[in-house]
Amino acid sequence: MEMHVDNFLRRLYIVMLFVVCLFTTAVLLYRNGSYYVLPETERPYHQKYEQLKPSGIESHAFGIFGSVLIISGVALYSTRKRIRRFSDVGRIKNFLEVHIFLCLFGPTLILFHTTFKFGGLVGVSFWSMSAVVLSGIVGRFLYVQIPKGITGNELTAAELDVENQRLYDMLHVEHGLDDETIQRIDALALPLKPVADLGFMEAMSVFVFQNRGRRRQLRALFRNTHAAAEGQKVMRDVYKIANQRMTLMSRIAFLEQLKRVFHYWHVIHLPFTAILFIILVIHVAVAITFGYTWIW
Amino acid sequence: MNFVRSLNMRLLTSLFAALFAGVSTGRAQISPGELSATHAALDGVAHCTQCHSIGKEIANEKCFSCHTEIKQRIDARTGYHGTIGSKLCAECHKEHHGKAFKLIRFDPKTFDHASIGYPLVGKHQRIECALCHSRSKLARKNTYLGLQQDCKSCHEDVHRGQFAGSLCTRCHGMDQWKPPQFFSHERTKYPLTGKHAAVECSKCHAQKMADGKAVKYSGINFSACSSCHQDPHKGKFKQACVSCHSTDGWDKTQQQGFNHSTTGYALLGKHAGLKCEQCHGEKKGIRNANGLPSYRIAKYDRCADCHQDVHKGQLTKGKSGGKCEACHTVAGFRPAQFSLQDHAATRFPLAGAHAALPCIKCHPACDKYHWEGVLNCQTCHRDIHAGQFASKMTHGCETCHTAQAWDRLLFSHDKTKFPLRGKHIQLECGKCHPIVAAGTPDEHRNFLNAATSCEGCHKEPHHGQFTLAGKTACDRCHAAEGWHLLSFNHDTQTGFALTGKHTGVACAKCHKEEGEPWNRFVRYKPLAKECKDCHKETRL
Repeated sequence: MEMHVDNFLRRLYIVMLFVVCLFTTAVLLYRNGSYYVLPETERPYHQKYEQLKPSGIESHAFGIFGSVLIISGVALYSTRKRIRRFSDVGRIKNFLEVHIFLCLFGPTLILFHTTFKFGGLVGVSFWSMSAVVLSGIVGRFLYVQIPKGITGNELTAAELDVENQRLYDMLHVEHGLDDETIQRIDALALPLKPVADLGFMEAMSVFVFQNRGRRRQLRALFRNTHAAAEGQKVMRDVYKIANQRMTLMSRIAFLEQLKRVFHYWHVIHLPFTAILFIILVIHVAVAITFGYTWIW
Repeated sequence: MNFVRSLNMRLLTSLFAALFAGVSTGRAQISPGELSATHAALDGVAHCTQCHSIGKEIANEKCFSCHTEIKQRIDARTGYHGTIGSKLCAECHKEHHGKAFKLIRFDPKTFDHASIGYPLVGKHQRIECALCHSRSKLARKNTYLGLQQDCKSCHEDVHRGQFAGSLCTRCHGMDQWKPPQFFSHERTKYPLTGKHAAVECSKCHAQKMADGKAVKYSGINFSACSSCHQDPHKGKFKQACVSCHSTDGWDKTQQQGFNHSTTGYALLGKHAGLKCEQCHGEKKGIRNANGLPSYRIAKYDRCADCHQDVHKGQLTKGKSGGKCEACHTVAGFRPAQFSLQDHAATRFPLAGAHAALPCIKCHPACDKYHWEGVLNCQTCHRDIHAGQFASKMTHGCETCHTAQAWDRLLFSHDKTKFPLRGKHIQLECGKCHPIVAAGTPDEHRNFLNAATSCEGCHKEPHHGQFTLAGKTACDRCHAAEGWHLLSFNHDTQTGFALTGKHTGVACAKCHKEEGEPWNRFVRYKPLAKECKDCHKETRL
């Protein structure tokens, strides 16, 4: 029960973070959308031009706060992840979530700071930021594909086995699924061809796209089991566990490729982040040099 | 190995990113966006400080370093920029919005021209912008600057500098040059009054300038009327024209100032009080050679040149030859100055009552001043004697009457057949000379055929006792002084002398009344003369 509550609160927390982002985006679009849709040559004649131009009081604030959020998000996560001294501070997973929130919300504000105008040197920073955000989204997907423990650390092979066994026991022992059914469930998790025979790109393609039909097959599979006869709730529970096992099995099968992709993702995510910050610094330095100091 | 591979991958990626960034950076700039096409030459990192000041955003001084003409206008407070005060250039002219961005957002159709201190009114409102702004004195094209506000900067000065010190708008409006909407001759040194106001401009301003085209409006001699008008008096009058004439018309002289004496006809008497138009001008129908009303009267020597001869020429035969001045003066026709002395020189000198008569009594109308033929009393007076004396009196009425009064007679009754004696003298004429034909036109008193005998007027009371041969000689006994004043002598005029006591007896004792009761008379004769005829016989 406590776990359910924790899960609920956690999900609520995640949802709230997204809501904040979405709500802010929606409000800003609603308030200032008429400015953003104008072509570049018409914007100076909008009634809110002075506030909404990138150096205007409102947009400049977006830029400053957005930058602060991004810097905070990057700094917090990187510090927690890379500096051994802070390795015991909280869960890496939570830091990641904060990092994701700050580095989604921050860029959103940056986007409004740009007023959807992406020219000049700082445009490079923006596109770098966009690449970082998009890669972050991809990375987030990749991240969850790699099985992790409750603390967010990667599970070892032994831990994967333990988890796998646990799920098997739940299906077989608690819900009475026979081995044949469980094997069929496992079969759904695996590609038609052995993973070792797949090339890297093929493996990723199979991993992403094959999963899409898997759940439908799983549902069809359960229709004819005795669990179905025991009622909807039982069936849901069993389905959930079976899904977890199927997912885990799939991830285990593609683990190496996933790790490889995740590795490559880092080499994209980090350099562009560096470019982002370098140009950001130049941009801020130039702005301050020429007197654009916001409210100071 | 994995680490090396990882490191290689990171290096490779970083190099790629750096290359990407470098290329992008090399092409990009630190500005927030491209400059407009106008400022395209200032694009690039090297030119930022040409517009931006360190630590001061955009300062106007940077703009003015190139846009000097704008600074001049701001300093001079002229033109559109002269009205903006201390606004920053960047407030209106925003940059970094791309090459296609127009720094000046200007809609000629909606631009308030008044905001630059030159409102477009009249025809200026309806013409194309380029018509004026193509005349910019600035070298660069496509600018609205470079124009002056004075009219001559766009329009030819057709007056060739005659009004160099004045603004065209003092006279001309913006709707049309002609006629000059605001021009008033009142503001010139020669305000137009009277008929001058109605004269076409070209009549006075006929002269052209040196180029033969521009009309000469200034520098025209207007000090004297003769500058424009010919002097019909040919210099005879030394005074200024305005002393007699006004601009209302040559024929409308200044009555107060005009000395009529200078015309050769001094206005005296009632002439002086007349209005000019009573003798001159249109009312009188006097016109000059051009058919215009004229004050010049051709003939004025004789009264009849202006006045009608009410005597209808009757007096032309007189001594004066009909000259009005003989009887009349300019003080007025009435009363005439014809005196009694003057009348005395006529055929009928006024004497007596005639002199006291008003002229109108004898001259009831102005055309009754002359009579043809004999002029006697009967010319005016009716013969009330009905011609009794007409043929008999050699001097006519004057035989008896005088001009003093009719009743002041020269007549003496002694010259008649019946001299008046006694009580006859006291009688009124009418007692003996009654009116005959009363009530008729021939009514008159009978003078000529009046009775001369006593019986002609008096009743004979003696019943013919004393009539002899049909005549009664009353004067044998009676006198005109009174019937009772008898001149009768009983002794000599009767056959019975009164003697003795007879002398004391009253007449009535012997002469008794007799006759009808209605016709009684005293018997005087015949009477008995015997004693017994009166006395009774008495016996002793």
